[in-house]
Amino acid sequence: MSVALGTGDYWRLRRHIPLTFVSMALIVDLVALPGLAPSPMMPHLTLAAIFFWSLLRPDLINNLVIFLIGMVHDLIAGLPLGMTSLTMLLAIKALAASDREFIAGSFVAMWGCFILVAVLLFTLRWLLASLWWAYFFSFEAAMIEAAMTIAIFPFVCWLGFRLEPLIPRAWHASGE
Amino acid sequence: MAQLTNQSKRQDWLGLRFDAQAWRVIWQRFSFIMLIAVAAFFLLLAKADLRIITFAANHVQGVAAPIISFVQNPVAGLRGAADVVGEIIAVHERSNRLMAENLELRGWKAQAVHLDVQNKALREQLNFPKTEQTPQWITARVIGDSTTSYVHTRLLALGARQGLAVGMAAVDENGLVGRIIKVGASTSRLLLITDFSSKIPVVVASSNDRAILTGDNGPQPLLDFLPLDPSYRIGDLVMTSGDGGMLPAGIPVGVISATVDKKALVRPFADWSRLDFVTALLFEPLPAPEEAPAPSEPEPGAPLVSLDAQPLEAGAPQSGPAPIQPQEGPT
Repeated sequence: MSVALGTGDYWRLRRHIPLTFVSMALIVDLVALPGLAPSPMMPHLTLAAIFFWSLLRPDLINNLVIFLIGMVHDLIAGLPLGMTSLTMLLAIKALAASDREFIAGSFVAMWGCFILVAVLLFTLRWLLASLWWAYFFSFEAAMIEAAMTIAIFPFVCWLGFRLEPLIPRAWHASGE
Repeated sequence: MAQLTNQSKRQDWLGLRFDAQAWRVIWQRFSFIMLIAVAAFFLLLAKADLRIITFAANHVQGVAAPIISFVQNPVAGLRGAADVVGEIIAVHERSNRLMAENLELRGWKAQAVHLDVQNKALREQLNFPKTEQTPQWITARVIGDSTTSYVHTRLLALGARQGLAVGMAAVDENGLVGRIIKVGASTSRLLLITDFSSKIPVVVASSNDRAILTGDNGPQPLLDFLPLDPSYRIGDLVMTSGDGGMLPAGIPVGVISATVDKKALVRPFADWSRLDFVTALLFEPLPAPEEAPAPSEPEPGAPLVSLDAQPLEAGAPQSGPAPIQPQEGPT
């Protein structure tokens, strides 16, 4: 038995592109990739993906989605439950306070804003982790992770901008 | 008619009337605060180490494990292909090195056979209890990474169903990697020896200095609680001491690489860049005398406590020669 998908189904399916993109980034973040150190400092691909889509399509990547993605990340990575959700929500809230349309208008503005968000998030995470474990973690390591995440962001944008036109415009964040 | 529909959509809640639109507005305005509060609440709950969080984590990991494993396959394949190319290039140099190593090992083998005969003879003379135990292990695939600089853990694709248990030592082909700290039905979490919360009782092989190997989230863990007048030297081999009975003794850990602020740094033997599989050692710690009282009439010459490992129910564990051999550190 074959199930034929109508135009409306494809239309609805394409609305899940941002969530699929973020989920894939989460999986890549959690996969044990070859590294040179015991815990290779890796870029936080999920943050980059969430930042990109919450900027372009906040209707599809809303606070609840960010919260749930953060919880799943913590449960699988063995981090204190709630840490990633808390830091990502706070960092994204800092973004919401700024002029979203202006930032989304150019790649340079977007990257510049992401640098601030990434530094804020990794500083918050370092602070929370140090308090939670009552252990003074290396701030340098946190900043290296931030720098790597900032460096990977253009690649996320490059991929995201190619997928963005596929998403139906009727539900665009701006309401247009 | 439209008015009736709108009325039917309205809900009474604590005497207040809300319609769908009102709920949406409330959610849009307060979702951020509510979710932040929930996340902070979970963070506090996690500190209490509640069983429900472990339960949830085990279930989410169990669901995610096949997906992560599937994604990791191409990565492992690519690395395997790169290894083959590298080996072909380095085959001549490797052959020469192995031949030299083989020559050296023959000498060691002769010495080992001689020492074994001598050891057995001395044991018989002293009526020394048997201590050989059949090593048993389970090999588990490493599928997940903690991906942060705060926790050095790995997710393994085997769990309690396959015989893994909390506290087991995990080794790669070179030496100790860490120990298992959490076990779910089909996944488990491995704490690496470099994690800041890892504490392993060790002994410096040549000087017999006992210490605690303490991770600091850096690549080289430290030796803590050394004796006041330690006599170790740079390059000495560090092995597990078996103190506390949690880990088997004699697993090679690494070599002392440097001394910083009167603390010895240990360079682990484990190859972190190729940590695709680890071997969990099935080890039964010695029971306390009160837990296993001596038989009323022991046989003459029989050991007081049998150290032979108990056979396991699961089919996965294997037995035979130990998967790793102690290595000599560079002098």
